[in-house]
Amino acid sequence: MSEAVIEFQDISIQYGNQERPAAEHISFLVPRHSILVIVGESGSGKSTLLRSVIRLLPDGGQITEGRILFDGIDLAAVDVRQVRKLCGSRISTIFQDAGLYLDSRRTIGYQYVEGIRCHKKVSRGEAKQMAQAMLEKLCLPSPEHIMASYPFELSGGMKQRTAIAMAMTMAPELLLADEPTSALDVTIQAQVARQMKELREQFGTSIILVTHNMGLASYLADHIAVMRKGKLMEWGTRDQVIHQPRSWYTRMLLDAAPELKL
Amino acid sequence: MMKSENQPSSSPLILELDHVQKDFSTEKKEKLRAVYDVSLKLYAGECLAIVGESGCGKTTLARMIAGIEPVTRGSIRFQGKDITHLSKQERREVRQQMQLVFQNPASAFSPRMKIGQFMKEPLLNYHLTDRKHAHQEAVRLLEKVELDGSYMDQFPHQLSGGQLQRVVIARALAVHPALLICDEATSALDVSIQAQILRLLKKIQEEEHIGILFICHDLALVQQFAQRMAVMYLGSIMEEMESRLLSQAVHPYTCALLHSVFSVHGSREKEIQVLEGEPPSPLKLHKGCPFAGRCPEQKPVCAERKPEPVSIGENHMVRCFMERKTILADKKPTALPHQKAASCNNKEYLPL
Repeated sequence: MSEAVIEFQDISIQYGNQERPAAEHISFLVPRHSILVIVGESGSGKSTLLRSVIRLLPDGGQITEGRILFDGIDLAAVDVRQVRKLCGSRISTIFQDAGLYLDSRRTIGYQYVEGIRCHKKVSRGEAKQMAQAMLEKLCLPSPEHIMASYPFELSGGMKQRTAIAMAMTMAPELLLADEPTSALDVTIQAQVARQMKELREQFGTSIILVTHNMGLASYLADHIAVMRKGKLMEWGTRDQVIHQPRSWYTRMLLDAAPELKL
Repeated sequence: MMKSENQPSSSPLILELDHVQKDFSTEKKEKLRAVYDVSLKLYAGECLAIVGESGCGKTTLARMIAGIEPVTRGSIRFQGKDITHLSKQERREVRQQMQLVFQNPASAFSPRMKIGQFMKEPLLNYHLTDRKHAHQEAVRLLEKVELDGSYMDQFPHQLSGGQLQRVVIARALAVHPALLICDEATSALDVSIQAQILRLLKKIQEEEHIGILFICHDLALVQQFAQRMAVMYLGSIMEEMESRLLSQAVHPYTCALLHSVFSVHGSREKEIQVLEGEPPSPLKLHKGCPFAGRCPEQKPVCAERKPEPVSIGENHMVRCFMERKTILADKKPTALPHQKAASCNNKEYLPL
């Protein structure tokens, strides 16, 4: 089992006093250096599942059953502080709207340097160099300009790509991405998706990505997990899920997704 | 699937835009050109889609047609009548013929108004029926959108997003409009619900023979639903064509959009061709083609002046300086790998 970077074992998640659990007995694993895409419609529990990895469930949400194994550590059981230590260094997260978690009153450079110095004992200058090198590595245009900008000066696509760079600086083993392209325009979506794909080739990072876009899932995924109303409907390799879906729900999703006919 | 046999020319023209332009002025007295030189025609029973990325002016265009924004230059004709500048009373009469459906259905409802009241309101406001029959009529309309009378006594928060959007559509139909403007009407919904709403709109369009102006950013969706489509970039229409002939798109921007769509069944190994950079700000307009900075086939002339729309086939207009030779033969850089053969049949072009 050392080949799995993270393994979900029979995970159930419950929100406060809601009758139905947000996730029910979910088990799957993510092999090292692979991309798992979780697809599903709104309310299917896909974001809940992703957030449970770093215990970032909203108020009242808790893991009631099961284990989440990351390098022998059960993330569902250990103290939250221990999970926090992993965040940013070994597990990184990006969200749908990068603008929301960048501090609007500080330059990107300031936040980036601060972030690096949280995890690594380096001087400001060294941290700045690391940051710029990372931005360059991910082919962002004019890193100096980005570092000196405030978040509002960058477009949504640039913010998201900068956020990916920030998440990747510590070379995490696992990157969690919650709808990273959903708020972006199609051409910008393609830029971000390409970058996600390159991350694995460049850094060997494993990715868990949540999306409702079947096309994106099909483009990025090695494995696809399909969720509906808190239940895992299907888990399989990309080719199997796309070409030989076993679940009626997967078939329905595939049929409903609009396809370009050329 | 799409009904391309619909012959728009035999149906009456309901909406005609003639060189419409919209300038906003910002606080610093800068000019922001949101829409530039847009000419479009929409026939009864036809669906025209406007596709483009955020900030390209597609919503501004819809708002001008609906009379929410004044038009800076150009004219809009609706059912043969110039509606560019209207008094409040005249506007009210036109509005009955023209209904809007927006992206977020929940914001169209008053949270304290029951669905029944919401449905009856336009019927009574426009004196289409009396109080006695309004209820009956409202139920009939709800049934048309595959809901039933039991929803009449419910509050908006009790319904799902897809159901709410159907109620909005039912209410829009209550006044028998000639034109339905859907501004990203399905974008906030899940794919399965999206498919339902589109099926419904299609049915209604055929039954009532209304024209639909469908604003959307999803090319694949538009191709399924609309008969014709116009691709907008930074306020200008770059290409207008029948959506069944999308594979014959010639404008570099349309091609770039096509490349950016992730196909579910496409090959994984296929490299997506990514358009670098982002659209420039509409505040800093230069005299050349709006797409010039990002265009993979840029030429010196593109930065010099704006291209004029050129007809290159039946119902196919493109705004580009590409030479006809390029359009005909040199399709490789823009065509998708599996459509090379199909893309070169544009023979009926006019000289550029």
